Amino acid sequence: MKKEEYEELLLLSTYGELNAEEQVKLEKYAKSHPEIKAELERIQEFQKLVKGNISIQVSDSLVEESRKELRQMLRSERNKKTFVTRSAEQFVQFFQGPLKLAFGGTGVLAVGIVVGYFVFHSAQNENGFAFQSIKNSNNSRDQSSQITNIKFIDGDASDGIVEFEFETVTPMHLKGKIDNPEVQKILTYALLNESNDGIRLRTVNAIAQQAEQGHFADSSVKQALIRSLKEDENPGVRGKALRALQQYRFDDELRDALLYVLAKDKNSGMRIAAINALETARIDGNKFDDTVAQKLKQQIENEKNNYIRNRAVNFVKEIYQ
Amino acid sequence: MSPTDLELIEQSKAGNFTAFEQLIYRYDKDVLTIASRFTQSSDDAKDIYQDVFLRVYRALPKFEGRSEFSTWLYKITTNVCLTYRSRKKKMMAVPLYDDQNELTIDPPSEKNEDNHTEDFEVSSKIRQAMNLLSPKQKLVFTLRHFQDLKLKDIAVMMDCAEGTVKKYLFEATQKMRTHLKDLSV
Repeated sequence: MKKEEYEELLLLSTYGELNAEEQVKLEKYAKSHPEIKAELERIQEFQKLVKGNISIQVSDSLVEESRKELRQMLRSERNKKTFVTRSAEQFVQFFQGPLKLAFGGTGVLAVGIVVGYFVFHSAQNENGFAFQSIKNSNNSRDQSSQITNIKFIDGDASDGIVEFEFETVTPMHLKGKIDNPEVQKILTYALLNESNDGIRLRTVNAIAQQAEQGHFADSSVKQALIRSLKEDENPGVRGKALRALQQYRFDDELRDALLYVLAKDKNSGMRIAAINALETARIDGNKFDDTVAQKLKQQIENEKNNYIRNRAVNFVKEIYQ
Repeated sequence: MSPTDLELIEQSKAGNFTAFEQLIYRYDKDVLTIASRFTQSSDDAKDIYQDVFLRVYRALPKFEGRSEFSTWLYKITTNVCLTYRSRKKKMMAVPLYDDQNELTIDPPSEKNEDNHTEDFEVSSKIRQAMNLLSPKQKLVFTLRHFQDLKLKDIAVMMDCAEGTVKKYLFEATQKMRTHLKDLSV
């Protein structure tokens, strides 16, 4: 066996990656070459050294930060592709194919007719070759639907037929009580995914108002509120989410969310609101244990705002009293 | 009972974004860990994380469930890791080893101050050695040595033969040992 071959087998053996045949081969070789033991020890020493000195920790805050950025990116991903940009993309893609010269002209004609249809809503489409599938789809489409994300399945119009795939967006109107599952679904969606700050603000306001009147949404909405409190980029929305959550029964989940805000929120107003909420919860008779005190002590060390630091110091004192 | 991956995939395909998040949050820490260990930089790891899940989001409607979701996801992760480095290399001429941008190294807590310095030096040398590896060697070494993944699984993720993966691991180890010979390995 060549030196390199046994060295590779030796390395694989340290990872438990040898198959039966390789194992036998290596054992046989080791019997006649006792120096192999020293080499094995050197490999193990190397592995230990690397593992022991490269201890890369993925912290919870890195995970949270990454998730927050991802959510924002996916939100804009969903919103950025408008009808116009998507159609333009399809249009460009269509003309970049290998048959661009042969079918380009036909494609222009087909696309022109389709665009003309949407622009003018012409009724003269009974005989138009491009409208057959659109017309069929149209039967099941509400008149107020918008068409988006058109994709050519078959853009070759030489046989007289083109085929598309597209999505329709239909405006809906929904009126219902806060405990209606459909309403809650929409509220949760709006809180977590709506890119417009004003809509998120109105959503969280609506939940807060209802909660103040004793109408509570289910736990999925509460989860969405907690996420908004921790992650929404708009401090107004975070503030309203906190106000809404204060109407809910104080529990460990809410306590942890408030401690998170106190530790992580860059807006001092939010941190003050968080410590106020914790204080209110304490006055209401909720107990705080040593874990909370430890977290607050850590917060005291990192907090640059004197007022918040003093409030945290007093809060810790209250816990130990 | 919590929904299966397949159930969450179906819900995600139907436009349920919460289901999509629930699905990816089952695996995203692993993706971030692989990326962090591969790049040794939290910023680069975050970039890879975003890229991976953006690709997953875009491609999920076409995912047919022929393999496990996790296998598919890790395949995407390895692809992004490998192309990330080459893209970075192509785009900017920056030193491979960037002190400003690196992840925190946790020194072993029981050692004294002198040992901390020594450990930091050792860590730096190991990082430098890792940066001498080709992207594939580095990825295989990272996945096998730090993530404890089996070579046959790594081969599936990287879409290559197990023998090729073994070769990368061996070459990576040899290169690193040569570079770290001052440390008596």
